[in-house]
Amino acid sequence: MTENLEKHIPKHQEEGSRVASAVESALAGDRACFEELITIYQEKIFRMVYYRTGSRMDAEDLTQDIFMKAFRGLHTLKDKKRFGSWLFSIAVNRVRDFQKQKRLLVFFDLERDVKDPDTSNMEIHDDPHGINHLMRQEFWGHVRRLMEKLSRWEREVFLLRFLDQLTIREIAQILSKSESAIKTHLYRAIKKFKENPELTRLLSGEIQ
Amino acid sequence: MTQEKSLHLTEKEIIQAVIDETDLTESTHEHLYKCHICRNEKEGLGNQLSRLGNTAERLSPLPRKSFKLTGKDGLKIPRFRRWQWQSLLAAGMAAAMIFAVLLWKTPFPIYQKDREEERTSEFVQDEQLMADISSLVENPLPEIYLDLSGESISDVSEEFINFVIPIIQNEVSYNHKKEEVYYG
Repeated sequence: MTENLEKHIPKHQEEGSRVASAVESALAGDRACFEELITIYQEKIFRMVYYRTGSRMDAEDLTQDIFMKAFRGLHTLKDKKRFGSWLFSIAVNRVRDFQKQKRLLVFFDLERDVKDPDTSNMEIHDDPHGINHLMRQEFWGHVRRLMEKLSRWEREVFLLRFLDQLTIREIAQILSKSESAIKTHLYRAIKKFKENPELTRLLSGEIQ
Repeated sequence: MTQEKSLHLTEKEIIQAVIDETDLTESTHEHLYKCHICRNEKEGLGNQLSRLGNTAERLSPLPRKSFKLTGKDGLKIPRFRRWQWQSLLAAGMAAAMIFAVLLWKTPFPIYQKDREEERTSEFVQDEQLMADISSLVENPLPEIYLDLSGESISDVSEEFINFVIPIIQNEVSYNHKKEEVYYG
């Protein structure tokens, strides 16, 4: 399989063109090339989903689902160079659908709302150092409280810009909005971030 | 010193600089490069935000498995992509509209015959309506009142009426006199 990949995607190519050629080969029906795309993006997409759901298990299931959706809908991708933005837009929509379903389940008391990320026993066993676990809990607690203060668009734009580390142009493509609209949401979100002294102190390293 | 302080970037401008420095005005941009206080403030906020991203990445778990395509199906490439369907649909609709317009404008014999029949029946209906209107102008009373009004005997000739009800002579002579006076 590796030989097959190397035949299609030379290692010296930059990630952008590497992705574009992998997309082209995948469109021609090469599953191995799509799996190469999965390898490139799986951590980014998994983290992106995790930041929004706070659950590793949900993030794993949703990431798998997102890649399957992308595979099935690959023929709808217009610009091969924009595969990353396109994949993120699928992820944003999938997470939004998941959160809607979850809200309904919680509303009808069919599922318990678990908000704190990394608080399951599994996560504690994964982390042999207790201090890291506490730090993790504290950090995500602050982030969650900040997110609760933001509007839906402010939250999405802020997460895409600073946690998923995408450019403003990419965010505009993903959310199908103008760059100036993205900047406006970002401005409001940063203003609220600045008004959150605990998180800013934590990030400045004042809290150990 | 007060003047220098008033020239410092506002909170709004610092945030704008963090989002996109190119959005700042030329003078603000220039000040940002010259003033270490404003630059520090901008870099401080920028660093906090990048640290937020880095910390989030560091404190996130990794997936326990790598993701793979499930099922043995290959990528399904539809014979017609969506845009092809859309253009086919648009072309079909345009063709249908052109056909409809042609059908309306072109005098096909079969449709022309139908239209002539339609016109004839409309003409007959119009004639009937005009006749009804004329009869109403002549005599607007319904049939039931015609006996009372005496209009029902309008068809009887004047000679027959004169025979049944003879003219009184005095009346005639009076009328003659009156005529004479009038014309005299």
